[in-house]
Amino acid sequence: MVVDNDVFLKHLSELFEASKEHGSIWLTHKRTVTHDTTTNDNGEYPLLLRANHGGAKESKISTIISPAALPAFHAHYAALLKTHLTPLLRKRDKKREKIKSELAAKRKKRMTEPIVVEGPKRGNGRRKRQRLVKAVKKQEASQRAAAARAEEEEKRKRERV
Amino acid sequence: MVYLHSWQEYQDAAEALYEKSPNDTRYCVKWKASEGKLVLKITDNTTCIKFKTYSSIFLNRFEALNLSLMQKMQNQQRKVQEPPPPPPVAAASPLPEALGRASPMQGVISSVTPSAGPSAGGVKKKKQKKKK
Repeated sequence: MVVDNDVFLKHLSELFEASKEHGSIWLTHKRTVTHDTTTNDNGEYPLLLRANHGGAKESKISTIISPAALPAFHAHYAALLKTHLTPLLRKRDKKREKIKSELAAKRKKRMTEPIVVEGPKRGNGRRKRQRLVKAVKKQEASQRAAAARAEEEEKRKRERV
Repeated sequence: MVYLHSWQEYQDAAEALYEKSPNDTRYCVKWKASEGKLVLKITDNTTCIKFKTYSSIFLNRFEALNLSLMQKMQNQQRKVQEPPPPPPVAAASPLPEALGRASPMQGVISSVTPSAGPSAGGVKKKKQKKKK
């Protein structure tokens, strides 16, 4: 069912209310490509926005937004989304963020801080030295792994683009 | 189908994917209120990338992405000017902190400069903390 922009927003608000307890909402945005007219006015296309409520047919609504109407529509649309999403999304948890960043810093420090191998090679304290040698090896391995991971990530990013 | 975990990565990938085949690509938003789960999906029928969040810290960025993708869908040229707005939105939270951190130092160097205004704000914040 294609409706006006304003009517669509009203219906969407109702949809949000209806799905508060269970179910979900899908919002699909896509370009409307008309086949009869090859060249639209200065190459711009209208936008189709469709909303539905988990498959229930009667609640499927859509609207077509012309390029000129987008700024006004987006302002309303964004405000509507915000009012409905904000109360149900998790709030920013600064405490948790702090703990996480501290842990990350600690891990990074452990990975990057150089380990000094010292102490006698034989006799008293040999064990201690051996442990340090082992720690250096472990650190090097973790650094190599991190570098490999970064490279992999970079590669994936390039493939996607 | 791939879930991306960093927002910046998702935004770049989504915009790149859209540019690749603007006539086929669709952008879907799924909202599940009972869990407070928001899933963004963009697909051109061959590749599909998704982003999932429960957190409200992405709301402003989400809004900016919505606008930028909608403009791309309409093939508007204004989108070229669009990229600047998102960074301020994303950097909105670190900015005040940086200001707060910078202002006491300025105060130390020269307490007579007009930087007294922001530093006063920092003092106010501290007082609030003490009350708690």
